[in-house]
Amino acid sequence: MTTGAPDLIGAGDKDRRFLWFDTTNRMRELATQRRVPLIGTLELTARCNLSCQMCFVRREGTDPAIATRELSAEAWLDVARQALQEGALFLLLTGGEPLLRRDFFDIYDPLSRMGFFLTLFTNATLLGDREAAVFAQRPPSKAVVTLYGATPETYGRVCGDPSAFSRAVAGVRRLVAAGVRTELRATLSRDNIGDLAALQDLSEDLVGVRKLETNILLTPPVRGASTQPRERRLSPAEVAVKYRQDADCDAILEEEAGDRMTVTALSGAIPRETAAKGGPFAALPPMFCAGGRGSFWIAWDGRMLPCALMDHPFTLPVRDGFAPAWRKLTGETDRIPGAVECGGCEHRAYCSVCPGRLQAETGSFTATAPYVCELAQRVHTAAGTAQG
Amino acid sequence: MKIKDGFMLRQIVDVWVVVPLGERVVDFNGMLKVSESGALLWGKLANSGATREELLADLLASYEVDVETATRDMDEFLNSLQQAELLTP
Repeated sequence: MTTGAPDLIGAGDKDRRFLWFDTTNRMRELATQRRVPLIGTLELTARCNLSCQMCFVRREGTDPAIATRELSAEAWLDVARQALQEGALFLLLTGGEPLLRRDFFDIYDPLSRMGFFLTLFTNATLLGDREAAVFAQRPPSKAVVTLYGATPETYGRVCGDPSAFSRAVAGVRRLVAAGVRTELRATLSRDNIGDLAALQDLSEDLVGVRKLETNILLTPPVRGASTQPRERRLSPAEVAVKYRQDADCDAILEEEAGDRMTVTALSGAIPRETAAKGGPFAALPPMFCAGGRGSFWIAWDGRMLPCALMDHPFTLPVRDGFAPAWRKLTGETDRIPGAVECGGCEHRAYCSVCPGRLQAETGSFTATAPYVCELAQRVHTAAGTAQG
Repeated sequence: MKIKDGFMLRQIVDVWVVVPLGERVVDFNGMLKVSESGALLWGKLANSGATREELLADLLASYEVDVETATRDMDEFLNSLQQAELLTP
């Protein structure tokens, strides 16, 4: 027996952060092996007050037909309680814009006391003094705010509302003043890529960190969204250049890849030694992340999916109960086929392909996606190691 | 002595963790990873409270361990909780 001192882990000094990653990685590995739903997302709504055409989920904020199909607060809480019993620990609240729901705090308050580590994704434009006061008292473990530009003009171009810029900035300032651990991200499209340096300046000003995570690999619409991310996203060549230019990216890749995985942040499927040799690579394996095996995504309409990018397979935790729905989903996930055509591809080590992305791009788990294929080829070439 | 209110001990896969609830996240944003025997002590301290003697007796009843080792480990555990200001008298 060794009782010893407990380990305080989480935000704070470097040792605590290391312990956090060490412990949570171990938990994720075990959960994925044993099919424990450790990590969950509640997509509380698909509706959003902004009108970003590069979003893959968005529905109209005032659409009553969509609002009436969303799960009620009671249903969200009931399914969350059941997920907790099955081992869920990390819970993300997202949308759409979750604060658009008038009953958001009817959901948030009980969730904050259930025993989850809560993360909130928000655009911060609806985060007024009232919301900040609640978060000051009962903060999420972390709030992640996505910024869409560094000026009102860019917000007008991307989100259809120039005034959203000042509201987002004010919302972030309220979160920080409330003592909420706040991270900033940016989703980059051809409408705001020119703002990247200014966004980094803004991040430094708002949260004291110049490095902000960016999402540049935009996903086509899923779950019935009628936005136009394909039209708004950067070309594969432009994305490849951005990857190459992003000095932080390499460090993040190396950190996240560790000793086992390959050089791209986007693929977790390839052992490092195989990648180093440049292949040959087998066909794309079935699900190689935690999706549907150690994590779940419950969409706004109550369907439980393996991940954000998918439309199916899905199960119905509200109708059938979380535990049966989870067991069914893990079985369905195990039957997701790999992409045979990816076998032998010389660019695999540089590819962002995964079953979810293939389904979002093509509607199929097994068809190759031209955008993804070209991006892999461009990234490989930019890395200076392309063959022939 | 007793653990302050607002924490939940959970066993997730093979790991025992203590999670802050609601208002507790303000002054404790992270989690506490405890050993299995630490979880035993935490459970006692959180539910009804316990004296050092009671905690030691529980350890000795639950594990094949000598008094000296159990006492040393328990004190290390309790000292950490004291330092983190998680205990009330």
